[in-house]
Amino acid sequence: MREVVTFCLTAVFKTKAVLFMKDRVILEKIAKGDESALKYLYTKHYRMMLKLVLTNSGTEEEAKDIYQDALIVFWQKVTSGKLELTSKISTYLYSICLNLWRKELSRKSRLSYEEKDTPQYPDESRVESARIIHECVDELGGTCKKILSYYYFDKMSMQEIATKLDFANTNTAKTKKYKCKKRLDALVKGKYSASDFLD
Amino acid sequence: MDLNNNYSELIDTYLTGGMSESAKVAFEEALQTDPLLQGEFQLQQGIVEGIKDFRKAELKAMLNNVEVGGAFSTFKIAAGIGALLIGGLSLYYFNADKPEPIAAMPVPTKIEEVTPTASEENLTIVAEEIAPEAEEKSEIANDKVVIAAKKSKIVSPKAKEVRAVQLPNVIEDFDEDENPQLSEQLTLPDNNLNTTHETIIAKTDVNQITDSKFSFHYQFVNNKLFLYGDFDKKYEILELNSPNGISIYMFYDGYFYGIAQQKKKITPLSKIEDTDLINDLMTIKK
Repeated sequence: MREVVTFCLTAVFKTKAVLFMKDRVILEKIAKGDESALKYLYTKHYRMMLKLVLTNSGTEEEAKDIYQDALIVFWQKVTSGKLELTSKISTYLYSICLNLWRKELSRKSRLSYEEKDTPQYPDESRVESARIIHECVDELGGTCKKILSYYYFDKMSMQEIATKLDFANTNTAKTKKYKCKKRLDALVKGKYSASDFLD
Repeated sequence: MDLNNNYSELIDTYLTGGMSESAKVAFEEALQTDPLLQGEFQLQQGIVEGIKDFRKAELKAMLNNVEVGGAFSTFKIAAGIGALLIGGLSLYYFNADKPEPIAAMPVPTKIEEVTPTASEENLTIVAEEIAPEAEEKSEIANDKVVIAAKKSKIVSPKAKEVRAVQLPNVIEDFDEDENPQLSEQLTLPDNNLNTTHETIIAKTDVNQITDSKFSFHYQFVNNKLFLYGDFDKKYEILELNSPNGISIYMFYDGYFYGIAQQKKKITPLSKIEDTDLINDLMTIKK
C-alpha cells in the first residue's frame, strides 16, 4: 500500500513538473534541439495565440498555421543561438504571431486587390523544383536528413550536431555532413541539369 | 568537378552566413560575372531551401499531431481528480488504525527434557502463554497463529491454572535403521505399476512355435502364450496394472508389444507406440 501511494505521489509531482516548465528550462531544452519542449510550448500557449488570430479576422485553420510558423521561427532563433530573450517566452511568441498575422493579412489584401486586375498563376517551375528537391531529401537516410536539417535549418553548430547525434567528435560530424550534402547534390543533379535552375 | 567543389564550399559558406562582409561583396560581384558560379549558386540555393522546407514541414507535422484545445482542460480536470484521489489515499493510509496485535494462543511447545518420575507429584507439563515479542515474526495461516515460544517450565498444579496439553510419547533413542519395516511403510507408494508380477506371468506358460507360416504372431489362451516365429533373442513378459485391469506386454529386441489376453486367434504382434506407456514399462522391465 505504501509503495502504491509513494508511486502515485511521485507520478503526480513528476507530471506537475512537466506541466509547469520554467522558461529557462524550455530555452535550454530547445537550444539542445529537444523537440518535446516545442510540443510543450505549443500546448501551453495554444489558446492564447489562436485567440489573437481569431479575433482579427482569421479562421482557426489560419490561426493554427500562423502559430505553428511563429513557433518554428522561435525554434530557429533559439537553436541558432542568436536569441537574447528579455521577456517571457509567451510575450515573445505573441509578438511573432502578431507580426506574421499582419504580414498575412496585408498579403491577402494585396492579393485580392491584384486579382481584380490580373489573374495570378503559381510559378509552376518553382513548385516543381521544390517538389523534386523534397523527394531527393526524402531519399536520404535518417542520419543524413537530420544532419542537413540541423545544419541548414536549425543552424546548430557542428559540436551541437555531434552531441545530439552521438558522433565521436565534430570532425566526424563535419565529414558526415559533407558526404550527405554531396549525396543530395548528386541526387538532385541526377534529376535536373544545372540549366534548369537558370532563368 | 574540382571547380564545382570549390564553388560548393564557397556557396555553402555564403548561404549559411559564414562569410565576412568583404568576402560577401566579392562573392556577389563574382556571381554577376561568372555564369558557372551563378549556375552552381542557383542549384545550391534551391537545395538549401529545399532542406529548410523539408525540416519546417517535419516540425509542422509534429505540432499538428499534438493534442491541444479541449483535451488540455480535460487533462487538467483529470489531473485534479487524480491529485484528490492520491491525497485522500495518503490521508487514509497515514491515519488508518494499526491492526491490533493478535492475541497469543497457547500452543504445545517442544520440551527438551521430559522425565516425570513416579516419586514426583502428579505434575502437568504445560506450555506457558507467552506474548510475542516485537522482534519475533508472527505468521497467520489458515486461522492459526504460530508463535515461537521462548521457554516453558514445569509447574505444580498449585500454581496458576494454565491449560494442560497432552504431549505425545517421545521414543527415545530412536534409530531409523533398526526399523526397516517402518521405513518401508513410509516410502511413497508406486504409481499403478504392479511390481509383483508373479501373478499372471508366473502362471504364463510361454511356448515358441517356429515351423509355421506365421513369422511374428502370438496367441494367448488359458495362461498359455504361443509365440509364432523365430524369436532368437531374449524376450521378457511384463504385466501392468491399469484401470481396465491387468495388461500384458512383451519386450523383444528393443520394443514393447501388447499381448491381449484370451486371444484365441493367432494375431500379429504390434509395437507399442505410446511413449507414456513405454516409459511405464521401462520402469518395471528388468
